[in-house]
Amino acid sequence: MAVTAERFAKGMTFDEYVRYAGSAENLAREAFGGGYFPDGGSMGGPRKDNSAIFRERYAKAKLTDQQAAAIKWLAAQPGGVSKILVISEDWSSDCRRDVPWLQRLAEAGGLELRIFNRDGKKILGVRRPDPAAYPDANHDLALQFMKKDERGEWAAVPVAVFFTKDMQELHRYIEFPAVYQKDRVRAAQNAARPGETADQAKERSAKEFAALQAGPFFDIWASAGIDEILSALHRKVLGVTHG
Amino acid sequence: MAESPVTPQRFAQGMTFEQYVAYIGTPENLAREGSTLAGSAPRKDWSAFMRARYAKTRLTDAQVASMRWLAKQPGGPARLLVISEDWSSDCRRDVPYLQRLADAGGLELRIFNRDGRSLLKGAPDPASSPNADLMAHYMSARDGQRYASIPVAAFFDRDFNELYRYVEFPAIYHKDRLVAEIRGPRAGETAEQTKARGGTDFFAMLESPFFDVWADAAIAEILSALHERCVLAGGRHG
Repeated sequence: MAVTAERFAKGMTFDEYVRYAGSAENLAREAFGGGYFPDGGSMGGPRKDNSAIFRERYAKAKLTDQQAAAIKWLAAQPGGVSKILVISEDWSSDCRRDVPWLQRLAEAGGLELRIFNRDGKKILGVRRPDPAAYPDANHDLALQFMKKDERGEWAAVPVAVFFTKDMQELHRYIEFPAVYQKDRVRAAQNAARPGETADQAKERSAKEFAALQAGPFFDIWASAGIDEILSALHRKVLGVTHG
Repeated sequence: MAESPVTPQRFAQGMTFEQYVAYIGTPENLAREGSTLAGSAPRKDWSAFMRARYAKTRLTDAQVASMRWLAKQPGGPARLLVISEDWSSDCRRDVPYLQRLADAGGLELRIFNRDGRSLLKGAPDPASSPNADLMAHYMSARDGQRYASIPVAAFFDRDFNELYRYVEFPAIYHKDRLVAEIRGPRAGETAEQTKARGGTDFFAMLESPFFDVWADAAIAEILSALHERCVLAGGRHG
């Protein structure tokens, strides 16, 4: 099932999304509570107002001249990139890292960007999105753009799907760039140090992860995400097939 | 893995970036066999290109801050060994950025030619190249074959323990597939036309913004790998 122009138009612009992130309506929605059920579904928790972080990261985000030139070139090609569909949840550090940069990419290339929540009032509490069980979510979209890895399929966010003017999909980027070995980095942070209790390890790891998000490496990965997208779109334009 | 040939004395024999750029334009270098897409070729003088590319290369604030942070960690990167040949577009793309990275982190960078007077064919041989010991140690492996791919950028701590090596191009470039497509035949082309057009298209790509997108991606790949190593070491040692 393809994404129609009508469905795409229902998403939020970046400005609308940032305002929405701070709204009472959004803050009343369940966020990720920090744990998973055995099937991989997420446990819920209260939502924080992340709108200021999105605003600050957008203000600071700056493509290199060559990244800007590359997206302009890609947008100018016949059948070139014209629209970006984003699935985001503001409790996700990967979304806070990438979505402001995706907006900068859209601006540089003159692309239309539309953002959709993944979830409705309830967080995705089971592994697989289910439009019937969560009618107020955007699980129809989430199901189309699942992350696939050796563990199976996941409704990871952010999702950024690149389309031509006629809504032909060119590329999809999901969750984080390949150079960010997030699972290994987080596992190392989570591992208890000698003499630490489980609670101490959890607290220290959370602090280290927060520091990582505030530090320079987060922008290295944001920029690497952009490089990965540009390089993939470039291959697509040149007709390089996968394999 | 074989014992590393990279001792402080061996490392010190390499050229600084400035020495390397000056060397590129010397009769000594220009008399060495070079290479193009078609194979062996006389060497062009790339010294002005390398100088200009270094001058316009700017790391982002985040890249500078990340490199400084890494260099300050216990056992962090302090030295950078580079194997390069100026006829390689991958070397021309990355080496000026590697020097900027060394500038940012206060790393010592030393550059070594891969080849001697003639182009390397087969395994590195000390009889034909003075740096065969280094190249033999840093061969890349792909599909069961070993290649003397360049550039090689090997990062060491102060005591010459190797932390990470970057080879040839960043993963997102997918160069082999991309270049096969660019140099592949188009409908109605003769073999000669394909070769001429493929060469023109490849060199045009080197002038496009994507060349610097890949340089940026290489820096991201290096910084991420050094960061990961540092975080994992923290987990092991407390």
